[in-house]
Amino acid sequence: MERPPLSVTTRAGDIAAPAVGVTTPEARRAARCAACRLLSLQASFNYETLHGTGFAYALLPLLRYIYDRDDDALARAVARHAELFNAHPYLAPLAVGAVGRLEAEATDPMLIRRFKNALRSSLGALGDQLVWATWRPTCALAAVALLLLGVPWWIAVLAFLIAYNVLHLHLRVWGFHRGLRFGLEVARALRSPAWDRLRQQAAQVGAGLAGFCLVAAMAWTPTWWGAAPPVASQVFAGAAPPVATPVFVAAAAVGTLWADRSRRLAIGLWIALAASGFLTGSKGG
Amino acid sequence: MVDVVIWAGWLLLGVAAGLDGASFGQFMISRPVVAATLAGAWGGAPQAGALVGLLLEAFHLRVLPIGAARYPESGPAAVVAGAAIALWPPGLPALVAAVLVGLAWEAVGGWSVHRFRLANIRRASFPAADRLPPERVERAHRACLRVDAMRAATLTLAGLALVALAAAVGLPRWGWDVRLTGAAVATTLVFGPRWRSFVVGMLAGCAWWLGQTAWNAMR
Repeated sequence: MERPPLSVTTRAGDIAAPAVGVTTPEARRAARCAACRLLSLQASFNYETLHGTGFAYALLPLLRYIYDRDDDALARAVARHAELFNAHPYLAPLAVGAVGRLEAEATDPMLIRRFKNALRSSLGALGDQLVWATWRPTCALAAVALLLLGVPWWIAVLAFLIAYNVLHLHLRVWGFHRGLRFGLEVARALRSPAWDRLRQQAAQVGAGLAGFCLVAAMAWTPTWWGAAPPVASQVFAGAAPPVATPVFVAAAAVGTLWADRSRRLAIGLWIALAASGFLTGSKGG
Repeated sequence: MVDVVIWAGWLLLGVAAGLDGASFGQFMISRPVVAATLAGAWGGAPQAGALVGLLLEAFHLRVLPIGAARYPESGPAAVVAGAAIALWPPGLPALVAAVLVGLAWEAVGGWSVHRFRLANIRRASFPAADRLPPERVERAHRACLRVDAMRAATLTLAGLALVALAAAVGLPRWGWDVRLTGAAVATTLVFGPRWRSFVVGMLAGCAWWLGQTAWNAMR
């Protein structure tokens, strides 16, 4: 069935009506498709345009919808969006949604380019701090703590995946909707202090988990206190593991997680020492 | 037949973990604590796999995949390490060797990701185009996805082959020195910020341990 010709301004309303978001079924399909494509944003990552090609690939369903019959305008828009872009992959949906809206509103390409440039560093900084530096290690430490507590392995793995991906998927969905809805005003969504609060709280929980892991790891050693949980017994087949094993796990976790840049030397030193211990040291315990 | 299924499973898991690292999803199947545990479980040693994953995770916690940074790739390496601990006879040498293989393979994986991204410049970079047919972008992007899957598969297969070879020729017997670990803990305690939360966590751990000891004594 041939689609009725629609002006760009009408399509802006379809793509991102301020109150209800994406309206028509076709626009909804395009938005869903773009959101799915965002999962592979980094597949074409390269050292020249970074996420540029992935950005254009993800935006394409929206661009196809907007420039329905104008192949030349579509090709020009694709070329514009395949330029250098870089952001945190979980927050890139915010940029794709916002740019989709701006394209639908026929915004000046130079303004869109400036907007993308301004947005990418904020998205990168927020995502790197919140997700890579805090949320991911905290969730991983929670999994480590569960394993040290002797919880069945599949529960620890499942708990990690669920806890981590709750925030991950929320960021993607939230970002894409906010982008579509606010367009140029998307900075409003980033200004919320909730993200910083979440980061601070997750960091505190992570520090607590690290401390807990240290003691749990030591308590886990059967030569010190009582019987070993199943994790140890399977590996060591009844023999006592060395004291170094669990303590090293906890120490490495804590050290790598809570060392900032100025302390890298110390951390690097002890990792090197530990590595040399792997290669040359006598058996611990 | 069972062996073929197990090896095919490891290969698939390696590919999934390799893609999950950056190219698709990033659901963190590629984290050592997940990938090594799943690989160990698939080989019949879930708890040993979990222990290897735990150790590799400790090394990997601080890795930040920011921008164009080069970093060790954890996914396929953790699968190889998990498979190693399942294939090798249980014991400390196997554990240490599996962790070492995992760490070495992470470095190889990081190098392969770097080469892949360099090749992507030729394959999928269009920095100064005036007009760009959408089909060209789609073809290039999907080709990158396929190449990355092949890269992960090759990396996993090569690692598994090494592991099988090591099992055939016997494992090295390495240990480590507990004093180094003591130094690591001391460094951490001295330099770690947020030490209050850390101490609270330690106290919670003590409470847990005391409770467990009391419970065992009562029984």
